[in-house]
Amino acid sequence: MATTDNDDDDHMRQTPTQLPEILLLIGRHLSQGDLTSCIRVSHSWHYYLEPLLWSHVSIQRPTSSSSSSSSSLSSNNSISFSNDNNDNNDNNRNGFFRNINQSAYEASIIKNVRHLHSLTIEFVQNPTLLHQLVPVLHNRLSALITEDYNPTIRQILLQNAQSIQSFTCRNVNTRQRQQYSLPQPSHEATEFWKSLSSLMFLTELTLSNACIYSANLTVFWKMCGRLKVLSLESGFVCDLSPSSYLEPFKTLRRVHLHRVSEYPQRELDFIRFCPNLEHLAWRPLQLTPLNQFMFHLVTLEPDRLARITSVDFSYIDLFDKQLATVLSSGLRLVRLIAVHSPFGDFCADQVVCSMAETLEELDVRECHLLVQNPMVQLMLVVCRRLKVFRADEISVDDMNKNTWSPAARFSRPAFSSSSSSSPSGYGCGSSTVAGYTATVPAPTLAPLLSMRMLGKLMQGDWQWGCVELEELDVTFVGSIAQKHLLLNGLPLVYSQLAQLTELRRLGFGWKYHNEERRLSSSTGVTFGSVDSVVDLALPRGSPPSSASSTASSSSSSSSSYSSKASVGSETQQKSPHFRAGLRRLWKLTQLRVFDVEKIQNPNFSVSDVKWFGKRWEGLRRIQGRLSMDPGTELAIQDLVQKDFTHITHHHNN
Amino acid sequence: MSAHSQILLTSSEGTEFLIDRDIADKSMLLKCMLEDIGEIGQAVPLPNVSGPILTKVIEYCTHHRDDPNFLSANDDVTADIDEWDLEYCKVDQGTLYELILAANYLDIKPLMDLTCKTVANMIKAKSPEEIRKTFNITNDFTPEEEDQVRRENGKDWVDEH
Repeated sequence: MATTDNDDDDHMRQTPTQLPEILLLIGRHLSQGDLTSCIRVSHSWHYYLEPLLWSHVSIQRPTSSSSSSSSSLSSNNSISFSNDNNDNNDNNRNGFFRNINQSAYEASIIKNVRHLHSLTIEFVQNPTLLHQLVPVLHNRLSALITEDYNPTIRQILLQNAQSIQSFTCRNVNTRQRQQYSLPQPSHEATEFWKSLSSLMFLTELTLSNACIYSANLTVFWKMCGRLKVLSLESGFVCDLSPSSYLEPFKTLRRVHLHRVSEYPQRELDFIRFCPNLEHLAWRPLQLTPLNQFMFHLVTLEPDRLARITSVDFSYIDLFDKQLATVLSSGLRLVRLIAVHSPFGDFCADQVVCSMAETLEELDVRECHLLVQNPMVQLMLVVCRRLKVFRADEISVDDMNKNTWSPAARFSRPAFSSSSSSSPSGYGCGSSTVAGYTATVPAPTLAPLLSMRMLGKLMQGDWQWGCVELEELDVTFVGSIAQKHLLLNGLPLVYSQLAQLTELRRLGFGWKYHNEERRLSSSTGVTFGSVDSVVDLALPRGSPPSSASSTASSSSSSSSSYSSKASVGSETQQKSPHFRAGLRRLWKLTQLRVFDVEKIQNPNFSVSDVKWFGKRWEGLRRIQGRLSMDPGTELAIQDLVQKDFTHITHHHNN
Repeated sequence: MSAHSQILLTSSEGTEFLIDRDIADKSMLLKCMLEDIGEIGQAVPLPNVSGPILTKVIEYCTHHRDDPNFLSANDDVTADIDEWDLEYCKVDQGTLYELILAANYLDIKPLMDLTCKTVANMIKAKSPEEIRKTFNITNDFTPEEEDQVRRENGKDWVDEH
């Protein structure tokens, strides 16, 4: 073996740990704590690995209480005064050395300044450090991350004008921390943009609370011509629409505009000025008057947006139909993130019709209008390339094709938006935008397309097409009142899940639902009926207090959980249970994370855990409580700790 | 596609290996060479790689044959090693080193990343002395020097087992 042979010079040279380029590659995979060990190994390791250790320095607020007297310089991914990864087990030493070594650490930063590439300044308690540090920082830094903007930062920027590629400032205008204070005075803004414009190689700019006045625009446009990534949040932007004489911003690949201006159409003009955009995250300013964003987006030439493959419309202030129109404007999306957005049937329809072949990631959690269940199903059936899917709920009843009739449940809200069955947000939308709906090219044909597909699917099986799915996060909802539906739906849920053999993360929610209110047409995410459902499932002996409670607060639901847990075994026989088909999932051997936090009233047994612990070889993490019965839960914890040491089990209590 | 064309490789001992072109293409060295000079019909000599190691390398490339993200998959430094790769790296240290050298020589970046990550895992949570022992490195620091390095690099909070 190469290493055991000390005398053989040839062999020594052959040892990869002696080769600088390989040593550096190895070092890339090491934490800062491990690196500090490595540099003490030998002269050559010290020589080659020290630059790695000191290339990212972070100056932060003290993190632990023991260090209140000194400004601790700590971080997670960079050299730091208190190394978070490793010092947890000897806190005493920590407190003891901290004060003594503060200055030593600062001296080391100064000494190793030649290795510095990336600097994070969050909190500076000892100004002398910066006084020493700043003068020697001349075109060394490639990345600078700061909490706010001040003359020192300005000096660092100017001195590193030839080297900085990425600049992040989390609060450009410190005055805006107070809620009612005035925005940044224009002379300060001008000064700020002037110093930014001197950064010749800047490609990534992330700013919060920055102001761009009309006097700064020329500078701003000039910078946009160089940037690859631009992220603006809050602050104030007077006018984002570039003048026609400018060259398009060909380099911009990713743009985030979060609550920056009151003129969405101007932001849109900006977006159309970036012909090579790949990712767009857009969030309008609050209280935007029913915005004209989409009218402009649909008027864009299709090729302007053709390159956008990833879109983040989370928290957007539109209506379902409008968002659908946006989605129909020729985007070939691979990623669609629309958390807490109006993503509804129309949008789902667009997904089905125009993105089925491309979409790989879809996130529609917390959407105002619940997408009708068949549409969710349909998306899963058609989007074959989907790798990540996160949503709120899927109704088990509708898994059963025999119970589902498109005429009754789908067509009404889709074609007559003012019908009483449509969700309230939707109805309100159609009334307030009555004037617009006439002028907007609404995707009226699209639902028809979906309908036709649904028709075809009705003849076959509801087989999810997304067999490549790697992450699934949904809650299955079953109704106890209509037990036959649940009994039919349950095996279907598991037969669908059983196919997803590539799954690496399963967020597996489950809850019972009162049939009074149809899930697909419910207006919001109010689970008021959840508790009463649980009580329905209980044998008559349940405490009256929880039986009468219909509030959806977690405390009351947990009280009914525990009451159920006490009579658990009886209940299991009474109601069909979510874990009944668990063992059909034996093919999910790739699964790494099993998240059961959203299961209402989980009651996995010890043997279940034993089974999947063995069967799912890839499993490394269980998230959430596995059983409401304290005894079983303890037994499960015991089992995991003893027999499955490679699995960690996290839960809140 | 020329998937059926095959390439002949010769290891350092002269053992010949016949592999498919698409597997050879996983190695940037071979890929560039074959693109530049075309398929000459002769064996490509690999004097720096021994037969057993070449077998191992070919095993890796064959397993990841249809991996679409072959070149970008390991960009994420923190990503976990997948099961098969983990099993693949369960070899003695000498073999691991030779794999690193072979991957470096043949320019197979994912294999390079995988093997380096494996070595990094051997370093994790070890004291300098333990690292020296693991990799058979002589300590060429004087105690004073080592102490200085320790002081200057915030070592006090991290180890002393």
